[in-house]
Amino acid sequence: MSDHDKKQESHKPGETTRNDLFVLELCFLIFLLAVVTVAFFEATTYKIVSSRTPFVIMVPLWILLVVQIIRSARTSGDQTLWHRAMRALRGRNTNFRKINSLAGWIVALGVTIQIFGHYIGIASFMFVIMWLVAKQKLMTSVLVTLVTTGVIYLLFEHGFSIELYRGMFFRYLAGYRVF
Amino acid sequence: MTIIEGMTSGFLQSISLGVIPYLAIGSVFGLVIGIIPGLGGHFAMAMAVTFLYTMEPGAGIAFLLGAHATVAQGGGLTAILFSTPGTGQNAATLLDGPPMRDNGRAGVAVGAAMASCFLGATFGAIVLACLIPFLRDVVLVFGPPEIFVLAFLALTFVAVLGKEDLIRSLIAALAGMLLAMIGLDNVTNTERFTMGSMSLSDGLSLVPVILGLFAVAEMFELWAKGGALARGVEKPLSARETQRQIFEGIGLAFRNWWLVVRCSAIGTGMGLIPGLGSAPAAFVAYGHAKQTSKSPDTFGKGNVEGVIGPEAANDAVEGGALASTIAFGIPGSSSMAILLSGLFILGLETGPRMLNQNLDIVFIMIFTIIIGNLIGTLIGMFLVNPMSRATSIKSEFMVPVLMAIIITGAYATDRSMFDIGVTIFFGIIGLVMKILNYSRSALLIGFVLGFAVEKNLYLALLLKGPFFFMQPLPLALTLFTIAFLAYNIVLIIRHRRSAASPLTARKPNP
Repeated sequence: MSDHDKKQESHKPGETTRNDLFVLELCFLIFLLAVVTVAFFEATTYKIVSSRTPFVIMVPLWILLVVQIIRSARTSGDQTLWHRAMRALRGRNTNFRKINSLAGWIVALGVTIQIFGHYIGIASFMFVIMWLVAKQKLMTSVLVTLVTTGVIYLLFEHGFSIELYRGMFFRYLAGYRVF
Repeated sequence: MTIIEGMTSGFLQSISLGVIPYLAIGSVFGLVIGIIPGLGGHFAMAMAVTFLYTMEPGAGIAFLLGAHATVAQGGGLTAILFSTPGTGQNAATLLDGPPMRDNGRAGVAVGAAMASCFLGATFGAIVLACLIPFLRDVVLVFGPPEIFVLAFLALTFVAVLGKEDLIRSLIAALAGMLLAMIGLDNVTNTERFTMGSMSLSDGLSLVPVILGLFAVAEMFELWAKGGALARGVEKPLSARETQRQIFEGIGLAFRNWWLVVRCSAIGTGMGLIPGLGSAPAAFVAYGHAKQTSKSPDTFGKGNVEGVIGPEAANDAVEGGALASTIAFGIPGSSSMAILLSGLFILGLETGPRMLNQNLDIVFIMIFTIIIGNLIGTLIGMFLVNPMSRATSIKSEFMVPVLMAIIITGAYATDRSMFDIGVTIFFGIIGLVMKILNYSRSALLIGFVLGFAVEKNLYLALLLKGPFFFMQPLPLALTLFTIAFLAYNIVLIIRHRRSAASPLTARKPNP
């Protein structure tokens, strides 16, 4: 850890949280500002009938975003945006790390559902989160996984007559070649 | 359909075998969700919406409102027993509920809270029923120009009166409206902001957005907290003693009927104003109960009136909030926005059509609120101890199980993998908004109102021309919106100046 890092870590916890929030808000606002700006230029290519409502919304939104960025920057501490963002990305912010890890597993769940189908996807997701990530007992994890998957199967397939996605692999085996 | 016909049909449908099981399941579901700290009414409704697709309108409404009606009851229970409000609206109950528990009167507080919830909800529902003849006439005065301006007024109320920062709430509301613009424009058939994606050409579906903002975001937060959902849990009373005390508490709620009526009136009145929500109503009711009490000194030390007042106001809010949602299609809270989405899914339209042709549906809502709360009270009376154990479930189990259900619900909406991606994306956005104090309710209300705003803007321009807002009623509403916003901005600036002033900032001499 560099001297600069050590100096930053020695700050009070409340101050650290405030600075982390500032960085998070700035990133969020910049993301929104970029999206609104791109959408604004995109809207200029539409007929006026289609673009007038988006313009009515986007102009005040753009102004409010700029105002909020200025407000946040004024109340920020002495932390640099880059330093805080890197600290979070390196996993030194516990909450950020935990949320990031869950978000990663959820994305993996989406990919698994796409390839192997809904039931295999949700069952493997639940089991991995309970047993591997949260270090719960094997039997409890297996039991909760099987019961939940069974209940979802009965509820959706038989209760609501909704066939959940079987996955590309199953579809390939069933003879589909167009996905 | 006359009011008597609507009322009779609504009542018969509410107690029919096609509806009552859904109402009972919804009520139990809401009660359990309410008990779990961190999961509120909007979470219960977001989860309930995913099951609506295969239901008949009556059953769907009963399920949805049943789930919503009992959340406050469950939240009151945990606020009293574990000093952990299951939902934000039960925060006022913390002032006198836990002291009653510490005095060995936990059951009395729970009984009084549950009975007050039921009485408050019944009061709110009756007021809503009484408002129907009036609303039927008023709603006819509101054409496209009025609805367009009213939508902006409602968004201003949500942004100003919400607990979040004004600018942040306005950003959220406008961002929500912008999200509603994604997809095919109904007038010119132009694809807007779809980035060439076929999945976006129909626009963003409501359910994945709702699930992401309110359900996935809560899951992220629970996961980050970790451990059991309620910490520092006190040992509950024995089952027999709890039962005895609960009946005593119910008796106290009925004995304080005048306080219940007054606090319910406060709740219903505040529910009519978009954006206020249940939590401020509960605190105002608490203040009123204290002011009018014969023993105000005992408030905060375990006075049952301090539990009865806020809990009655909590549930009475729904009657008022439903009025503006049903009549104008303008939701005042995130829960009402989700209800509105649920009505869309069930193929129902709010406004004059609902108040004239589908009046039975309105009465199903009214009876659902009453019966749902009654079911919640009955279940709560007998199952307080076992149900309160839901708080000891570890988030390590709850999060993956609920996430699996959420993802399944998101897919089942349109049977689209794309919707799973939308849910995850809005889950992350919802979490960031929650952490940064941006109003998710404002975003959702903006999103729901976006469709209505654009449709009514087209119609207003077509019918009245570009100066449609110069008509008497739209002009009055526009001026009121501007004045309300300006007044609150001035208040904020004054408050900041006084806080920054060296005279006020200086510490007083010892």
